[in-house]
Amino acid sequence: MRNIYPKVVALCMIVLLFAGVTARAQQRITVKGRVTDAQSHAGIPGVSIVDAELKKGIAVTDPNGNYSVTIEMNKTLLFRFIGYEDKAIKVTKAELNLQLAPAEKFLKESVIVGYQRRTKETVTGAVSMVSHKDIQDVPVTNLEQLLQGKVAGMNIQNISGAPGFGGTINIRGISQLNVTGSGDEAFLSSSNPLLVIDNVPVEYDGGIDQSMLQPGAATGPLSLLPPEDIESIEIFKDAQAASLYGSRGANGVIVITTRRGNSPVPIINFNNSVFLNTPPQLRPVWGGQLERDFRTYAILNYSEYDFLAKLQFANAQFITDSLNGFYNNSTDWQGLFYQKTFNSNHNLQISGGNAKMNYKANMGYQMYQGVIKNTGFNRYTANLQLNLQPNERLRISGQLFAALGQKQRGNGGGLTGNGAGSAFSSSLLPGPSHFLDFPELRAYIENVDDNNTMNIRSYLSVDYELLKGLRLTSATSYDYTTDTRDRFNQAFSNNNQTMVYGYISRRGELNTRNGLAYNFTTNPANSEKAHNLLVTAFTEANIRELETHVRDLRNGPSDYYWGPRGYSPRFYPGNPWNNAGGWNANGTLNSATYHALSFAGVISYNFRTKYNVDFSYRADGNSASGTKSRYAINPSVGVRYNFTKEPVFREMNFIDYGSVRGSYGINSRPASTRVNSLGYYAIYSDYNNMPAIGPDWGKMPNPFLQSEKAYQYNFGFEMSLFKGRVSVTYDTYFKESYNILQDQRLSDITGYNDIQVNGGAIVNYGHEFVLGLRPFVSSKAGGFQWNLNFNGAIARSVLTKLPAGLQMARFDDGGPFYIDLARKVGRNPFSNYIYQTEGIYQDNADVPVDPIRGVRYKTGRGNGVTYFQAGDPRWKDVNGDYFLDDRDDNVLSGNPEPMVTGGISSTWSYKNFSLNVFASYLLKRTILNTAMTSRLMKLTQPANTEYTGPGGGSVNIYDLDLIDYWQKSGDMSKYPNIYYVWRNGQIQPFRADQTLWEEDGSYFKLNQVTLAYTFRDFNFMKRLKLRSLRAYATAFNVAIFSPYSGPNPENVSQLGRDNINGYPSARTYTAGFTAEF
Amino acid sequence: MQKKNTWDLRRLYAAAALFATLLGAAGCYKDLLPDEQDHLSNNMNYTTENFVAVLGKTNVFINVFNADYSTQPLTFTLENIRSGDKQPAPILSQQIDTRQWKTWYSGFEKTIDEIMSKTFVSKRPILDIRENSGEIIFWNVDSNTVAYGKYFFDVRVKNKAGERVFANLTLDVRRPHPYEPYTIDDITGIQKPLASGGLVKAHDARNVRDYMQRLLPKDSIDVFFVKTGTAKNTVSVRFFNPDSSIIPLTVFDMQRWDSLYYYSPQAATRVKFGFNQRFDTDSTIVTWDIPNPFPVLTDVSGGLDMAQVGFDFKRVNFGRQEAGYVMVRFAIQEPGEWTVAVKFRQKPKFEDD
Repeated sequence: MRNIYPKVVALCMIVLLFAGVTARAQQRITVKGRVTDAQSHAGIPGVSIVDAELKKGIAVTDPNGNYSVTIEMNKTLLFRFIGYEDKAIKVTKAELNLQLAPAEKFLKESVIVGYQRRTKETVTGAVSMVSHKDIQDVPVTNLEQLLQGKVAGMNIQNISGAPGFGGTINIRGISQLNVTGSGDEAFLSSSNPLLVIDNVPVEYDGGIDQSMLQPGAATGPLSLLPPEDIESIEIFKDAQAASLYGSRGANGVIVITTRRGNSPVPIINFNNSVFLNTPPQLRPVWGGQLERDFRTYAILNYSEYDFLAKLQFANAQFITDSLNGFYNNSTDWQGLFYQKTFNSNHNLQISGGNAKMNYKANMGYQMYQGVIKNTGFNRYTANLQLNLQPNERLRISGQLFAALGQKQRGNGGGLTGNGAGSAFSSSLLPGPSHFLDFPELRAYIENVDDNNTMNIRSYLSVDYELLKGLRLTSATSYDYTTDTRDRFNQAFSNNNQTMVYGYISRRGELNTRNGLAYNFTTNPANSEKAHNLLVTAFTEANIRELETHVRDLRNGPSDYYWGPRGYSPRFYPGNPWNNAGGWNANGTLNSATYHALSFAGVISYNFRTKYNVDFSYRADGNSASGTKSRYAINPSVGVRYNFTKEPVFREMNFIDYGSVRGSYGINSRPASTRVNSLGYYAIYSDYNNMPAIGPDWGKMPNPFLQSEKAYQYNFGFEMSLFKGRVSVTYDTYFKESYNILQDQRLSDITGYNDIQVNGGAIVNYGHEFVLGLRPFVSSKAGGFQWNLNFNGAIARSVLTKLPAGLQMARFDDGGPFYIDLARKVGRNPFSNYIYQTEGIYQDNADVPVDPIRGVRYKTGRGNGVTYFQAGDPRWKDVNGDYFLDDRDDNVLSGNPEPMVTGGISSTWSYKNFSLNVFASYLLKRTILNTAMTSRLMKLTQPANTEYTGPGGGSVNIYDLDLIDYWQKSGDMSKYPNIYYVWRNGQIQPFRADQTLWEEDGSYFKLNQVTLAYTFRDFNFMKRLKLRSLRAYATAFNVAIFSPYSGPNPENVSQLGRDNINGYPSARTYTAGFTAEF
Repeated sequence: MQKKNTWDLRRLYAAAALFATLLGAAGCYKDLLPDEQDHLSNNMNYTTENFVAVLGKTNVFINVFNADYSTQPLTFTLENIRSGDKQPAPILSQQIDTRQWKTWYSGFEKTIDEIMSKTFVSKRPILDIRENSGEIIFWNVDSNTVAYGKYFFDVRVKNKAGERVFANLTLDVRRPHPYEPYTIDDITGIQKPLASGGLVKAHDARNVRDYMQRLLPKDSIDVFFVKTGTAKNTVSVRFFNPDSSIIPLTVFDMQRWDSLYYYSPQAATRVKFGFNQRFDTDSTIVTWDIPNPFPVLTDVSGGLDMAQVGFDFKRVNFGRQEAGYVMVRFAIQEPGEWTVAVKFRQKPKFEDD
């Protein structure tokens, strides 16, 4: 540090020296002073001081903002610094102190569109920006959590609180139809956008598998990026903005730019925080006598026969032997699984340089221990960046990003199933002690599930100006990730069988982009008076490689022998990642190589920056598409009219700017796989008793498979009034994703079962609205300021096409929940296809009677006797045959997609204090409370500590007084009689496939409350050479308000199903400081 | 300058108008989308296309239509009902009085009137279809109304997406079964071969011995159904030796006459056998009043519901006490006074040894 300062001073001196030479003849004066921030009063280092006439820099300010220049009297000095408004002052005296006001940039902000930096006022697409200020002061394990509610139309749901995992994200609605898994583990293929981090396209889902199970480490790129390193995030929502990102931009693009050095004085920025994670309020449970009474009562009164009740008692010693100390407990199992944890987050950034050379080094470390024991995520990152511009023509930029994410998953589990909800046992059993252990608990404490993700991303770009305005650009990046997962399950916790599971994957992505860009303007001095033209053309090649290995071994000899390293012939067929046929059914990624080649061009023209037109064209070919249709064409066009640049508006000073824009474009998404486009061969042993090789008859190859595509119209309006006091952005869009891959069954004369075709289509349309208000703006430093930002999006999705002209397709969910889904043209893409519950039968006489047969309405077809009675759910008999049957009594119901999402941010600042409150909200979404299903289903085996039916798991009795269930005739209750021990097997009153569990998932969530104090002009700061110091305290994930009866309407799957074994979202309290030297 | 401004303004107005139009268009997104339509599957089908109906009882064919997840409600209509010679058969569309249920038959009814009070009479066509589920019903008519033979009909299935016709479904109307198990072939009208149902046997027998100590199997006990009158609906049981001499009911010394039950699978309970049990003066005939049909749910249960009654006795067989019984199981479809005659092929021994 020390030895950099003299150099800087020397540099200043040299500059001063030259300045002196040129102006010797005039009367000269040495001007001193300090440049400070108009809001914070902190000195600004590195402010360029320019001689306004000569347009020549003559000095920069020192680390405290002080400067000293020698110049002629009455000349004008121009003070200029990035992010502030320029200020020109005539030299009249020897001391000039001044304040620079932060720039009201409005549309002059630059945006990186299609790898080109452009001013926002010429961008025709729909772009939202998130600044680093919007994502500070909270330590999180995934950046997604901080982006929730920040951008209108970007719907982020933190479906799990498990550290280091991701949530779900989609920009402008879902565009996928594929569902894998079943029940509360059903997974909707992600509609994730493309991620571009510092010009490098990165798979948003890198490392995250398309299933709830998550066989791999499941650490995505956004978990590995420290928020402190981020300068800005741009979200491209419409087709025009995303078109240049080509084949992967169909779901929108998120462009993240990390911080750069831009101060001639090296800046050391140190961000430190400690934070406390607390589990949410635990659910009240019945323990001890209450539990025993419930179980006894249920067995005695609701068994089929008395002798069966006695038989159950005989086998349930834990209920009957109440005087036995072993069974005379009231153990709070929940409390044993959850914990409060103290954690820390550190980030150090060193940056500096100028336009010719700047550098940045960012190092981060975060320790995040989860609220369930033995879970956590540690992150180590380093991001090094160097930009060189040795002369006007050549620019070289290099970057190296490295990160290590260490994740502990405790007892395993994927996106769901990693919580502890199914592990709480009967309170009558004794808690763990020196002599006793408890398999479920021990599984959570002692099982090992360590996941390491190592990511290295390098980037080099060279940009050379061949002729005036014509630049040649070449950028190459390589992104390499290894994931490892090591699990060992102790025999005691796993049915007396040990389990060793290992997962290794290597992913590499090479991306290279070479192109020409031509910039032409008829008036280089002022683009507002010129014709401006930007033409670029580039090719992009992309090679991705992936290799995955899984080993999964069961039943080892002991807990101390973590092997063998080979197959277990006994258990291999049951290997969860492979079906009996031995080929991947659960989404374990196969080893694969993928090649993509793209050609792209843009013509961007504007007249006086008032009328703007963009044309772009991109052709994307990839190796996964069918051989007959390798290339997908993505054209787009956009127009923008900055109407306030019309002379009429010059006099209307209250309007800052206003513009309207519209765009249309096509994007594509490579989705087909080689297996589906080329087919594969299988070995048969049926030709002359010799093994023969022939095509596999499962899926007919379809060489005409195309990329999935989407066209989108966008129409937007932006306006800012009263010097930024009111700003409005409105966007509306209509997007149709078509060519969506769907399986189409084939007639058996073809010899094949089915074929994958480009047959589905979804329309997303909606409106997005952003309103920024600054009701109080103080021109004085330290005055009261209030910034209010509100955004909201109304989004609708409609299925518009299914293959072969089908109107409806049912997705058979299978056991244990049987919650079928249906896709129906003209409706939201997914509806539950389940029984409609219309209340509870109050009396046996309420049960409908078949007038022809003289018997009651019943479950199942045929002549069985499972008639309904009082206390049973009143399921709608849709076809009126007096049989409740899956074939004809299901109704389409619900929509797991929210209708409205958005966020509200409010910042008050006064003097040195600032208070920020951020909230997000969601309206109208259907959640299936399958957690309640499991909870009530488990009550139906009161004689067991372990539920043996579908879903399984330990039985822990929640406070049943909080549940509105039927007890006697006349109870207008929500839930059926919970005591129906025997009837559960007869009619399954708690079956998951009924609308009883459907609830509205609307919520209002208080994401973040931050109180910050900025230290200014304290003596200790000068002594410590601190440029700035800021302390903050944050509460994150503060509260969620919802009509939903489950614990958290956000911790549900994308299909709106609440897994009882979900990982709860922790509330985090943070205290930290940021220091800048 | 003034002129230029006007031009600017005009351009601006034009832009504003375009803006307003586009904004208005944004409200019409829904009109661009396909309407939600009903789904009418191509794979809907009747799981059976031949409905065998028997005269003299209510025939209900449940569980015969597979809608293959077509959008409910589907509407079913019968069409083009014709007889075997392809001529229209309007008789099957004729409305007749049918007995239907207001509330369910529980099996605990104390009197026949109580059972009847749970029913009501409604006019329905003889060949009927359940409107939304497609179940076929052939109501209880006698052969004077409908002649036996084959009939054909079409079913038209409709929802908003369209309609489909299932043509040439067969209704095979056969001779009535006055009682079950019935010994006459309902197609030919002649007695079935003795080996395959031409003769009704006792449902079960235990420890019934002849005078040579041989156990009499149930096959050696014939059961005859005789209609003796039409005054009211009754069933009587009497027992005969091979020589047609009467066996008095007093031999069934273990019979608990006050608690005779049979199990009704449809009502899912044990149902008291008959009403108003009475004996003739010399205790050779036991008679019950019965509802028609008997058991109540026999014709809608697909033959599952049958009345069953056992006659218990005990005797000392060579110094060893043995309990035995003879059991009959039957259903009565035709109203009237019925006698169930149980006739042994070997003379059974009821006295103690």
